Amino acid sequence: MSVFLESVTSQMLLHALDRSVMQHAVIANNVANVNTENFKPFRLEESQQMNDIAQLLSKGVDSKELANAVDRLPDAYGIYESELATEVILDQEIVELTKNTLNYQALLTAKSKMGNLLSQAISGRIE
Amino acid sequence: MDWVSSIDISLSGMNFQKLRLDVLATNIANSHTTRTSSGTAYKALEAVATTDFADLIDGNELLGVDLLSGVTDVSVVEKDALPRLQFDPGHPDANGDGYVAYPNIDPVKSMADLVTATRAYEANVRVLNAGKLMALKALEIGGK
Repeated sequence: MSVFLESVTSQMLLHALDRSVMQHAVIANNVANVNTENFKPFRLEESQQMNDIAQLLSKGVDSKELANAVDRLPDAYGIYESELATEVILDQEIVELTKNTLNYQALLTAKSKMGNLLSQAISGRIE
Repeated sequence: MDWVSSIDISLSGMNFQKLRLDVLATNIANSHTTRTSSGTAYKALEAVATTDFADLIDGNELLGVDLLSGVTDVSVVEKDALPRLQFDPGHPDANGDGYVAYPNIDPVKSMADLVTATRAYEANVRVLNAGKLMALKALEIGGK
């Protein structure tokens, strides 16, 4: 890991972005299979590691502990069949799609702003 | 997980809904076909999609996202429905008792299926557009 160009924040951002892409695939699969027989909608498993990091941040944490927590972020998440739903409900899936798309765009904006911060730090100029 | 697979998933959904529409159109077009090459009245067709995911899921075990592939098993089957009999002794296809067998295709149900198929198709297009939007936005990182 490059000390100069990467930080825990950008690692967390990339992880959240990856997760958003996975979420999109799950939603796409649910919508594609809306009329498939015996198909129950899938959900992406919750990210316990991200929840832990959020908790650490709210309590106040030193950078080493945070770096350790970020290192524990998994490479992939699993999918499971939702127990509550017996069939795909289109309205529900489109709502999830809208939330996920907005989340992704917000993360991208944050990543872009971080890049700007970095280039300002490197160039020494504030634009 | 890359964007191309997500688009393929949406495409498989769109193709299936389009197939449903084609099957529906065939049924409606043949709603008065009294004799096919098999000798009997036309039997309504139905597009069926099945999934074999249940075999992969084992109890509480979680699956990987890369296993998602949209609609995989599609088939068009004949529905076994009794034909609608109409008394018309002069008809060339009338049976011994003077009844003609017409396909049992319910126009109301066909229209309702048309609406749901169109709606499902639109939903798949919506998902595809969202995926495209996200991918395009990602390409803008670093630009002004």
